[in-house]
Amino acid sequence: MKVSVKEVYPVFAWSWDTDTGSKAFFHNDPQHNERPDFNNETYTFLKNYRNDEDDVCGICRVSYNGVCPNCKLPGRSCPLVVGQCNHNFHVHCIYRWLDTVNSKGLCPMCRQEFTLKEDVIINTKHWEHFMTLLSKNRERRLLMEREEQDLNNEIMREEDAGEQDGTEGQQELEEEDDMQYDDDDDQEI
Amino acid sequence: MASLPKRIIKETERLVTDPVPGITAEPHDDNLRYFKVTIEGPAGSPYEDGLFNLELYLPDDYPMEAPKVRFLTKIYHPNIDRLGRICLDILKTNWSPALQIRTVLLSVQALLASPNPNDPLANDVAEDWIKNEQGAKAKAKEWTALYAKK
Repeated sequence: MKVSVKEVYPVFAWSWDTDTGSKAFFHNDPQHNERPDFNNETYTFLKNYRNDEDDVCGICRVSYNGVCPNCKLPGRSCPLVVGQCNHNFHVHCIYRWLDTVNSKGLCPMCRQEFTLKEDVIINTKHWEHFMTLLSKNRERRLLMEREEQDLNNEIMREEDAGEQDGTEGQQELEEEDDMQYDDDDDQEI
Repeated sequence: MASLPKRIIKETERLVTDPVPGITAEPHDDNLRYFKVTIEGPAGSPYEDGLFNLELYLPDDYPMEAPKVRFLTKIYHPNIDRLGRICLDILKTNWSPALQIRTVLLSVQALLASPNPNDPLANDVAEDWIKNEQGAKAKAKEWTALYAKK
């Protein structure tokens, strides 16, 4: 029998190489502590095969190979990053979290300070942006802590002043009022 | 209204298909971010045999911001005040987007099993709890029978 191939439709698949996932898979198998002697095809197949519930972004709960809630196309436009703690997220998801004051710069999964893992290829493109974000966040937190401290000090001082002389607080208030009027005048001019 | 994020749809589906024992959560027909919640009082606690109604709301920024949860049923508990507001760290400063509706409700259920009078929200209840634990627990049980009947 002779078969002639008229047309070929190649199909491609891809997934982020986070490295951590494949290691975890093989460590589960006591017989193979090292990467076993599979050919590359089997290796890739097995690695993709465990793309189950665990392989979702811990923030948006969409597969690592999918997109964050604000993107349409997966892949380069919505990449993945690997944390030092081995927790993976869509870069947009973790940036959005770290950009909130509540995050305190911590990983959502393990509450350790979140930093990018070194020597992981998919992280390399993000270092600069990430460092800017980190320092911005740290500054903001410091500022907030300082403001809180100032506020506490002020309250304590007022309490002390109140105990020493009841009229002092009243005077301060009046002075502030005057200053406000001054401001208003300036604006009108 | 903006469309519902996939994560919220997924969570809602799972709450229905794979519910947490002793907890129900159903979204409101008009607002899919607003949930009607019931929690059974944990066995061995003064809230045993009680069924407590709560409301849960997912703010626009969820999961970057914690869900808002409040008891609707009257309850005698040192970390829950008269308005049903709950003092629980993961609902405030220790929120993480890795937490979900189900884990939050499990934590609330756990709070019923282990009240923490040293970090009180309802000061009078907490004082009662510290001074006279047996009496406070008896009162909690009484309130459960009175207000949280199944």
